[in-house]
Amino acid sequence: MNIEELREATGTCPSISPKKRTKILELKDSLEVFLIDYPYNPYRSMFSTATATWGDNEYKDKWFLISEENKLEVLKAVLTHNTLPQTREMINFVCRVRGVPRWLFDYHTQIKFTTFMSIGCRDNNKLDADIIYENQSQNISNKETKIFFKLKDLYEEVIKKGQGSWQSARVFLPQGYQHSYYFGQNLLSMANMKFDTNDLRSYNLQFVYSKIIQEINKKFPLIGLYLTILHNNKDIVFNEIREIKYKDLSELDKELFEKND
Amino acid sequence: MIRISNITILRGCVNLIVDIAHVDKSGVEYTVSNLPICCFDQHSRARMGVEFYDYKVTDYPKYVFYTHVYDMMFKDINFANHIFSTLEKLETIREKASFKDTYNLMSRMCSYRVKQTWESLKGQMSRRLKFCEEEFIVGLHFKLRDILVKEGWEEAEDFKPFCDVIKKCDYSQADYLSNMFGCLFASCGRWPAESDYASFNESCSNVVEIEKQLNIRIEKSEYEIENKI
Repeated sequence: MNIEELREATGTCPSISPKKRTKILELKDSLEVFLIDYPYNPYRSMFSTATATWGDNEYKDKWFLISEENKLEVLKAVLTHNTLPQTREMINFVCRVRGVPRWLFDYHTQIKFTTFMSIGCRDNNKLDADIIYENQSQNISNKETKIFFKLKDLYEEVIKKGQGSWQSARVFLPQGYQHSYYFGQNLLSMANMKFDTNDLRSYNLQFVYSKIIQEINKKFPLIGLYLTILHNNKDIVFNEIREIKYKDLSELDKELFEKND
Repeated sequence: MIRISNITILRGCVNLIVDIAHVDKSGVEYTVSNLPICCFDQHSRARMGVEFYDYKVTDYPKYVFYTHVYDMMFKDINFANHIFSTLEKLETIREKASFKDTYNLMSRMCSYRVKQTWESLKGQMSRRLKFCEEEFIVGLHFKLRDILVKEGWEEAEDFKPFCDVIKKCDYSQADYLSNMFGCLFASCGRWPAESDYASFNESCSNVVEIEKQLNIRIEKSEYEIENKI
């Protein structure tokens, strides 16, 4: 194993320092969310688990026995909360998030039934870290910008002095620094989230979730529609789901309803 | 502790407070204060059998620096001046800001409460008593262990760093991803290291400083005793 080569590739080689740089950005401009993993067919999972309590001794896989239109009826029951909630708990999504301030990541980790793995600030040189402002903030003054540059200078000074490490230098890292992470959450947990728009942390997390929903919607439009309950009136969303006919589903969703493997 | 103008900076674990709120057969409930935000961030990642409450970041301009960085201020007056002038400006801006989190440094002082089962705590101790962990979390766990042992809780006497259990340094093991990602600091010397590879040539936490700052005695490993290290 060539350790130096691996460390260069992963950006953990201390001899290669990133160029000092401090971009000041607003969350709405910096946030990136990518859905990187998801169930092979979440509709089949939800259908099968919602109908799991019925059957005879043979316990046949009902997915093959029911028309697409009827599968949709079962899914409607799941997505309007008319089945046991475990059906939604089966569906797990993994996202890559970049461009949030550290304080928002810390707030995000407090959500129940989520799993996080994030970039460390002991393990990485943060000389190139951006500063991310919360949405809804006023214009950033020159004074504010300058203080972040000064803090970055102190950060650099610690690294340069004697045995200074990235860990020591983080003494001068503000909680507004850009943080990146992967997180996993199931559909039940996601759909149960509540946001308080009067609380700035909650308001900004809601913004992150609007991007997450957009990403899920690209892959699974019916689940994307369901997750709009995080931002919209639940009854209106549920009514919309109840009204859907099989022919109205997107081609992406139909393909999964018709998949028999 | 150093205080200039309204800025206070604490040194390492010197002012660390661990207060036991409740102990019974199921576990321990304790509060910690005079630690930096980065310690809470690290500590609160623990998942199984542990809950964190009442996390509060101080509104006062109080900071807790790594011993290494704190001592650097006394070796270089220009560096110290640079720090204090920057922190004063930062505090002025922070005070006016309606939302303060953006301006909280990782070293800003905080406090919190922990409720943890014995089993969970034992797992944490096996990791956090190792000097490859950062000094605040190492100090906190040594302090907690010391208090529990002095209070007569036998469970706490079993708490030891995992390297003492397997009788070798597992921090610098070349397997899993340690050399690629995690092997930042030189081994502490408690057990012989299988690899000399490290990004920084000093151990992450300083045993002598932790003993002095917490006023506790840390028993040497069998290897250190046998080899009179």
